[in-house]
Amino acid sequence: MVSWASIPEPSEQVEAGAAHAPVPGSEAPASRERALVLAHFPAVWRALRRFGLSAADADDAAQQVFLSAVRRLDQIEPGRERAFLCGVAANVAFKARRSAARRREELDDFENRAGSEPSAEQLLEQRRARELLDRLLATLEQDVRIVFVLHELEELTAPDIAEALAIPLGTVASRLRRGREQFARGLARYRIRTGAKR
Amino acid sequence: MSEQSRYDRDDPLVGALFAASHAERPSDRAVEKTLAAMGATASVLTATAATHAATSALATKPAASVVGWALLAKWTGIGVSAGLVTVAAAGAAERWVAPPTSAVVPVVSAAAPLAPRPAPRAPAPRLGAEQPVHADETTNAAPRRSDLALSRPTPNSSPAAAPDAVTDALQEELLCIDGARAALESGRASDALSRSERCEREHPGGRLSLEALLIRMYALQKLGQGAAARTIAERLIAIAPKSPHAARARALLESGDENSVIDPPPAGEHGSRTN
Repeated sequence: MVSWASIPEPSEQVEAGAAHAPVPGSEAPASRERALVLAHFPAVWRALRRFGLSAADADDAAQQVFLSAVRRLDQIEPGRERAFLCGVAANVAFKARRSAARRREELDDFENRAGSEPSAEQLLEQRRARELLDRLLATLEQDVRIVFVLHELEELTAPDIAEALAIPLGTVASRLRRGREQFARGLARYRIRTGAKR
Repeated sequence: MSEQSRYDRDDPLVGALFAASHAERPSDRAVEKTLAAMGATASVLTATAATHAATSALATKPAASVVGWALLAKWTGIGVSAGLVTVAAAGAAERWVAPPTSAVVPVVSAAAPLAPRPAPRAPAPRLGAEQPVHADETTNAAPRRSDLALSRPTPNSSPAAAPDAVTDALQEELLCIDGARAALESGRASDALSRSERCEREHPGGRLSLEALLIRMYALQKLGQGAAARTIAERLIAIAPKSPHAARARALLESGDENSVIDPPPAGEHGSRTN
């Protein structure tokens, strides 16, 4: 039995700039567009997940990000694709979450979940870890969360974030500081409840 | 903001949380659908641009206004023709189903056979994505050709009808593949096999042809036809050696045992629904 998850993601198989062998007769997107998707789809999708979208919504939103990017491909400076895409993703996620907030299907109040906190052992499982991460991130204000995710998880630089989100560098710094404080507070509360040690 | 200023990753819990985030990946299907949607969008944009270019070229000529009126007349003619056909159908239906004394013609219900068919599920995102403007959508009164004709482009199709035809063809292919995949996921390997073969037959060289092959490979394997499955796997690798499909095909080949079953992708951990 081969694990499906063990299959490497496309970005690991195809170097940026390279295109798949075309499917005979198919109308594949141009090579730069295709390379853009293959190289950056996982990162964009992951950022969308951390921005608070469900996996299915992240699928749709990521598609929207790339469709939007393709229309402005000539505006994307080579080498800065990721920052550009993350900026679009932040906007898409913001809009998506506004409608998703009405459903409120997954982001229950972090405070109300104390009884179901996973144990330290269970946290070894990545899925549990992601659930906890998402719940911690859900306690952050949305604009703070976006900056925190882009910097801490997707490792964009502050100038890149400022450019991607079209906000001043100082705003990036202040949001990042607040994000760290809020994240640390949530983490501390989690530790108190579960007895998890540092 | 330097690397040192990042959040404390020495904390094992933080490290585990962040690492778990990095380990999360989208489904290959989501990537494929985006590529397919981008291909469709590129086709639509190309066709629309060609239409606009043609229109612009015409506009530079002195007879531009004449052409404009001709186009208007064309669409008006189509609209009037469609209306006449509708009324005629209504009249015929009335003669067929209603008593001769009936004074009111139920136009709407009688014309139902000519009403646009329900739109199939679209591959475009549902989150308020900007949709490319089709050339024929800019004319409100004009009937959509896709409502009146087969979805496949015909040699007589006008440039304005091409985007709809392309999108419809992709939608049909998506529906076909979804059916095959659903059959596979629900354990109906034989049904999945016949459906995937039908997809390949009806959409030769389609954008999802690799997906159809992959489903056929899994279906054959589940049916115990290991040798045939391996042949498909080799074909997949030959066609697109760097694709995710090829990676799965290699996994099957490397499993060694022709009768060992490699699970197809989960039923939708990341949503295997059609967009």
